[in-house]
Amino acid sequence: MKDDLEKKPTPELEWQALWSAAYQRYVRLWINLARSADIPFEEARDVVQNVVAGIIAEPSRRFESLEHARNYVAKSVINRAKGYKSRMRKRTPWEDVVESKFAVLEEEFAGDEKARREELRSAIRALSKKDFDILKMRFYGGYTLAQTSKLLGMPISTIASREAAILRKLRIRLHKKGF
Amino acid sequence: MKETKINNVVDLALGRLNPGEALDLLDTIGRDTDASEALDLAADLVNLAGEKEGNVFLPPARRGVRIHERVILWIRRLDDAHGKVWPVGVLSAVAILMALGLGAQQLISSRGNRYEELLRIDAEPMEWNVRGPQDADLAVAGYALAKGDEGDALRYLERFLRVHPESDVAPFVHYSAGAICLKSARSTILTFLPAYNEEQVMKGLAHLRHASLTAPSQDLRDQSRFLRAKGFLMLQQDAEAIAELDSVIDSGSGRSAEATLFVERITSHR
Repeated sequence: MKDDLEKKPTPELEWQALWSAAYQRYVRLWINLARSADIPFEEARDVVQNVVAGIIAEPSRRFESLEHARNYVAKSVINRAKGYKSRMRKRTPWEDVVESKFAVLEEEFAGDEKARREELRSAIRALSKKDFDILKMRFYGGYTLAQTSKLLGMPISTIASREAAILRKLRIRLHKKGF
Repeated sequence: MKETKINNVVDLALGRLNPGEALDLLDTIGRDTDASEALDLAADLVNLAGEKEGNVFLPPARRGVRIHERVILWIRRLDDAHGKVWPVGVLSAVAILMALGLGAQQLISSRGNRYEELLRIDAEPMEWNVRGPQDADLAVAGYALAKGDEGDALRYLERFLRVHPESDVAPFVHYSAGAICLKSARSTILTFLPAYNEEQVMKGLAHLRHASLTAPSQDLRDQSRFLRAKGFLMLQQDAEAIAELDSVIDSGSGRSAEATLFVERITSHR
C-alpha cells in the first residue's frame, strides 16, 4: 500500500487514501507529540484535528510520501501545541470534517492496517517475557528508560540496548512479512 | 542507527521529549530512513497500546487486571476525559482520607481494649531476703529490673524457678514473674493504640495462678488474683476476671471491698 501511495501524481482519490492511511496510522503519535507541550489529551486531540483539517481544506498541498505527511503534521502539531492556550480552545466541527472525509475510505484500507497490526501483535507475543515487559512498560505504561530500569531492576543501559534490539527484531519480522 | 537514537525515537513517539528536542529529532528523522522506519514502528506500537480491544499488553481477561493497574488506568482516563488534573487529585485525596479514617476506625474497634483504663500495673520494687546459692539469680534479676530490663529480669526469675521449684520463695518469684509478664505484654500500635501480647499475658497468668494457689500469705494470694483479673481483662475475658475477683470477695480478706469496686467498674465498662 505504501508503494502505491507514493506514486505521482496523486489524484484526488489517492490523495485522500494517503491521508486516510496517515491519519489512521499516526493520529495517536501526533496526539502524543502535541502532549509533549504539556497540554491535556483532549486539547492535544483538538490541535491535531485542527492541523489535519487545515491541510484537508487546502487541496493544493501535496506530499511526496506517507513519511513526508507524517513529519509535516508532526512538526505542525508540535509548533501549534507550543503556543496553545486553553482560552484559545474552540469547539469546531473539524472532527466531523476529518471523520467524514476519511469514513469513505476507511473500510478500503482497514484490512491492510488490520493485517499489519495483527502481525505486530503476534510478533510481540513471541517475545521473551523480559522483552515483553520492557515494551509494556515503555509503550503501555508510558515510563521513561530510567523509570523502566528502576521498576524492572535492570541497568538503564541494558534496558536501552534491549529496547533497540527488540524494535530492530520487530522491524525485520514485519519486513519479512511484506509490511 | 545508534541505540540512543532508537530510544529517542521511542521517547518521541511517547511524547516524552520537550517540543524543541522533538522538532530537532524530527529533522533528523526526515534525513534518516532507519530512524523513519523506527518511528513508524513506534507509532504502530503506540497504536497497539492504545487500542481498547486487542491490546496485546493487557493481561488476558480471565487472569484479571491487577487492582492498582485498574486504578492507574482509571485515573488516566479520567484525566484525559476532563483535561485537568486537579479534580482527580482532589477526589483521590478525599478517597484516601476516607479510606484512612475508616481504616483507623476499624483498627480502633478491632484492636482497642475497652478495659484499658483498668489495666494499669504499678512497678513493684523487688526486695529479697534469701540467703545461700539461691540469692544469685534473684539478685541479678532485681538488678536487671532496676535497670528497666524486664526481659532479662524475667529470664533470671524463670531460671530460678526451674532450678528451685520447691523453694520457699517460689510463690513470690512466681508473682514477680507474672507481674513482669503482664507489664511487658503491653505495646502500642501507631504510638497510641494499645495492644497486648497474648502469649506473654498467658504466661503471666500461669505464673500468677501458681502464686495465688501456693502463696503462704493471704495478701499475696489476693494481689495475685487482682493481677490475674487484669490479665484476663487484657484478653478482654471479663467473665474470668470477675471470677478471680469473686474469689477475693469470697475469701473475706481485707481487699474484698476493693474487689467489689473493681467488679463494678468492669461491669460498667462492658
